[in-house]
Amino acid sequence: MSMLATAAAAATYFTQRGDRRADVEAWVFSENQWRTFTGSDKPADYETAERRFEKQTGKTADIKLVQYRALNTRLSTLFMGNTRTRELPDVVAIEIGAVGRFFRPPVDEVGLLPLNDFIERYGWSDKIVRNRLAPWSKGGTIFGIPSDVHPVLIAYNDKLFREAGVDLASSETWDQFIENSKRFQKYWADRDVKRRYAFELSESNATFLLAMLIQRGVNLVDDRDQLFITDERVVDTLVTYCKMLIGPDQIATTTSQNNDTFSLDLERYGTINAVMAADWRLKYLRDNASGLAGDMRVMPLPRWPDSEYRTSTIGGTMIGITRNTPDPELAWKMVENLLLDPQGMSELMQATYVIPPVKTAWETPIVKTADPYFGGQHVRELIVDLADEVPPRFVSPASAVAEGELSMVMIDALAYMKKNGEKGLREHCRKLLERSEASIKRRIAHGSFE
Amino acid sequence: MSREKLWAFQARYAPYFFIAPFVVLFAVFMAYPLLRSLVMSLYQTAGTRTRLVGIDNFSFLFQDRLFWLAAANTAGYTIAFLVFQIPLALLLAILLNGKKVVGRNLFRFAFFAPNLVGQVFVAVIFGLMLSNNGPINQGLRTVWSSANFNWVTDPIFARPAVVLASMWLSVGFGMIYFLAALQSVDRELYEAADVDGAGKWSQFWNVTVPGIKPVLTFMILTGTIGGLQLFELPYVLFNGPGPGGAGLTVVAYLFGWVEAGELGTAAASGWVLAAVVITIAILQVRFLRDSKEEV
Repeated sequence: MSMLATAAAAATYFTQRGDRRADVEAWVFSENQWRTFTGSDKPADYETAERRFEKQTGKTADIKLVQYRALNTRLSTLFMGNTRTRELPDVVAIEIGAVGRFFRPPVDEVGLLPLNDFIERYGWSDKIVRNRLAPWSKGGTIFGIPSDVHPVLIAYNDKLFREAGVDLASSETWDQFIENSKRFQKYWADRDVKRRYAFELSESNATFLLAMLIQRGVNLVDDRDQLFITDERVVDTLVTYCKMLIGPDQIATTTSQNNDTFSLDLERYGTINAVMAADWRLKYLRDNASGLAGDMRVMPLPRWPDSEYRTSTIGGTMIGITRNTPDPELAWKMVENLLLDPQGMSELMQATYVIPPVKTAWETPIVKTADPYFGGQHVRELIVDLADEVPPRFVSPASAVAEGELSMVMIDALAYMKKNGEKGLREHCRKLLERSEASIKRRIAHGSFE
Repeated sequence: MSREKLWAFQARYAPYFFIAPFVVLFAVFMAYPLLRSLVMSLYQTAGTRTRLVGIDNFSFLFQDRLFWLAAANTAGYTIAFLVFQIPLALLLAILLNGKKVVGRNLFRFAFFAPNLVGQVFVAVIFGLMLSNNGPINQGLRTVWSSANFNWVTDPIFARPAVVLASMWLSVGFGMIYFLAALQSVDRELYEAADVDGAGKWSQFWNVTVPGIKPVLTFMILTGTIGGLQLFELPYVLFNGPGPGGAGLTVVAYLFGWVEAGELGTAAASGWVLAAVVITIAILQVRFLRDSKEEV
């Protein structure tokens, strides 16, 4: 009985609390974003997105920090119940790895509000990186505004490469990059330095392989659940990837990929000396491998022979409006305040290297600042240059499945190469990808409500 | 209402009032969710939409190679736990049951302590210890300079990594149970065996093992169920299904469907797992009953 009484009391308390909710409530999962939006560590006169919104509209706003997994679980549950209660936020930030699940229902039943009309009406299509709308769209309907671009670069220990007489930044293509890396490794091997590899690639998950595919203009699945996993470019990229990790052309080794330990591999052990890094990863590098300050440099990704892209993209977050919000216009004002906060964007760029997708924000002086960690290079300027070139990346409910399948194919292909060498690798990869395609198609058919 | 009627009412309904709290809580928090999940396993869901698909979710599972991978992993981990964990726990218990061991209470606590911190904490610690340049690889390199075991990124080493972390976590738990069981074995039986000329090995098989058989069976039962329900440890250690799906267990597979918003297939996976657990539990309980009768 006491348990029932406690449950009833708790329910009453939370119901009462719900009534005191702000006019617009937003949920974000990134602490950096939350600090920027709410100014929790800023002086009282700091004009946060929250305060500016209240000044503009005369309505109250509340931006809540909700743990990543909790946010997605709560949002899924609320969407499933088609709830119209005030428990549902009006505005919500969703990460790229989680957004696919929200796109499972047909377009007109997705729990998020279509934003195409708002984007056109308020002229947003010219303000932001257009390709960056792709991950947040389903069949042409846009459900979120990106809060980042996350272009990918290569960060490398220039001091060690120079010592080996290699100018890594001169690598225009992946073939040249491999040749330069081999020269680098030979130099150190000749001096009896063991386990010194040029590059970091993963043997266990396909994050970097996927980034290479996106750079090459290939999405495993598009926003209409069309599969491209057996595309010949996927086979070719997979073969190149395997050769970079195993055999006579090996230039890379795997690391723990944990944000702290990969920096150790780079700084303390010198096991790897160049890493593929989206803008957000540069912050981890700077914070955790501080001993390499001044020695590090960044460069665009080398090109593939059939693609002009010099960059790719890893990760991302969108800000969207829930379909059942009582006042979509007011919620849109909140979105604009969050994404067009000049002070906030500037601070975020300074603290994290993450550049916003809003092009006007790139005019800030921070972009032109030389970065001492990267030997005085204008890192943010390069990121901004690459941001406009970011290839489209699509996300659908099948994306996570396809990426998981690609990881397994990659591991299988690496095991094949360890055992048999390069002979027959291409054909083996093709067969593995065809088997994966069948498996993904079965899963898409099983869960489809279209 | 007259006094007699009140007494009669009370006599008739009092038992129902007494059991009502349990019945209500059980019905709301156990029976209803179980029945609901059984019904749900016959539907597919996406957002607010549901559709009746009958046994399609179950037939999909048996055709899905990820489900079979998860089932094979789960079976492998369960067998590994039973094969390594129970003998090791028993060995530790026997060692720490000896009166000659100095500081045995300290050792007992030390071996049991990992069990207090939980699977998530252990997974985080082992994630750091097993990283490429972590203390375990560094230690191995002192004896073999080119040692480079990618414990958490190579599918070949990933499975032993889970078994290793799990052993560290739960060997102490088994040890405590075995210690209690060993202390309850009648000393006179050992003395009698000694008089009969039985050696240590013979005493172990003929006196110790029958004496601790109920606890041994209990450990096998809980170890099997724990193994079949394994989830947090590999999930946190690999931050997902792990290299090549090495950390994908049936519960992780189920969780994947929950995350994807397909509750019907998740419920179907749960019921398949429940059926396996119930079947094994019934078989083991029967074995336990037989062993009790023998004792």
